[in-house]
Amino acid sequence: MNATMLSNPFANAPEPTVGGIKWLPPTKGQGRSKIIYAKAGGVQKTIRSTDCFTITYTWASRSSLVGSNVEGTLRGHLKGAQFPLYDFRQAHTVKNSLLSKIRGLLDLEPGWDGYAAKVPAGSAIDEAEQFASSVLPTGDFQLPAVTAAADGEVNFSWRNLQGYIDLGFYGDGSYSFYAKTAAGEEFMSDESSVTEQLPEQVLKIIRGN
Amino acid sequence: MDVPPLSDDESLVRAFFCPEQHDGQEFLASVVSLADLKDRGFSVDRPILTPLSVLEHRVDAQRANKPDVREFAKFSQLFCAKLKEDRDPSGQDYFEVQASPVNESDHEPANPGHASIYSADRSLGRGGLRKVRTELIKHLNNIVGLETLAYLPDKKSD
Repeated sequence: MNATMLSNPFANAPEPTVGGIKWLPPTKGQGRSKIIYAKAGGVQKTIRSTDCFTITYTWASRSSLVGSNVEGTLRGHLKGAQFPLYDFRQAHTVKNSLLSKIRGLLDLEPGWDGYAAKVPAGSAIDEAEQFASSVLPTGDFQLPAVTAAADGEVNFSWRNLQGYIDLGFYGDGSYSFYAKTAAGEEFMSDESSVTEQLPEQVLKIIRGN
Repeated sequence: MDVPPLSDDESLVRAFFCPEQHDGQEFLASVVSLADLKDRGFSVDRPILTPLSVLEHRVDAQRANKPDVREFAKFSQLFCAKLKEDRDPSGQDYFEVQASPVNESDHEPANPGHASIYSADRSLGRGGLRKVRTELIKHLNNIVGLETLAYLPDKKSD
């Protein structure tokens, strides 16, 4: 057997092992399948995909892909067996949970607060995602409360033993925040670039330790 | 609509209908918008001037809109004297409260007890306004039962 198994580095679900080979069961859900199966002899091919498409790809023998956002290189050599090369399951990381919560704000309708609330602009949601990707720690951190305010703000707030942070986006290319540490130290910014880093004391509150 | 000025011994009430704005213990930052603090005013009722029917109309309207989630109705009671006393370390007031009675419209009955809370310093940027709202939320976390609020009884028609 001469095969290279490529796995999604973000996937962290336990993977059952059969005969010393990692094996993942096929996903039955529609729309976003997670696994590519290959049955091939001497395969080297690059597959790219974009959102929302379904293809069946055949070469040498057969490989099928149902999914999105795929870019990778398959290399496989195997006879008479079927095995997965990729696991595209969404990683259960704090950052992915945060992105999911941010996108949940897209479901809001005008007046969602029972008064006359605006819905957040798409640009505010984009900036919140950009901030989450570029400013928040890469490792573990405390998931903030993600909510909208009536004036269209996308808001992140943290409250823990380290302190409190109120931070938000309006879709104008900046974020602003107010933070107070447990020791009583205050930090604030009226306008910071979406990729501008936070003070270490504020990051400590975000990490929660 | 002429109404008496706010007095220090008055209480103010804000009704909340959105469960996402409360974490089970405290209100989240987004419960007060920065635009309200700066320009529009954060709406509250003066129970001594707001007829109970106005509150009931608001609650009924919310439940009719989203009956599945609007069972969450919380009532915060704020006290004018405490809002007035609340200052930053430099002695600057955090809040300014103004009576802002509302006339009857197609959507809601007249509310002579409507009042608005603003940041006392309207020149603050967003960071500063966030600090003011952090202080306001401390007042809003005083949640009380509806039965304890002495709204103005409606006049009975003969």
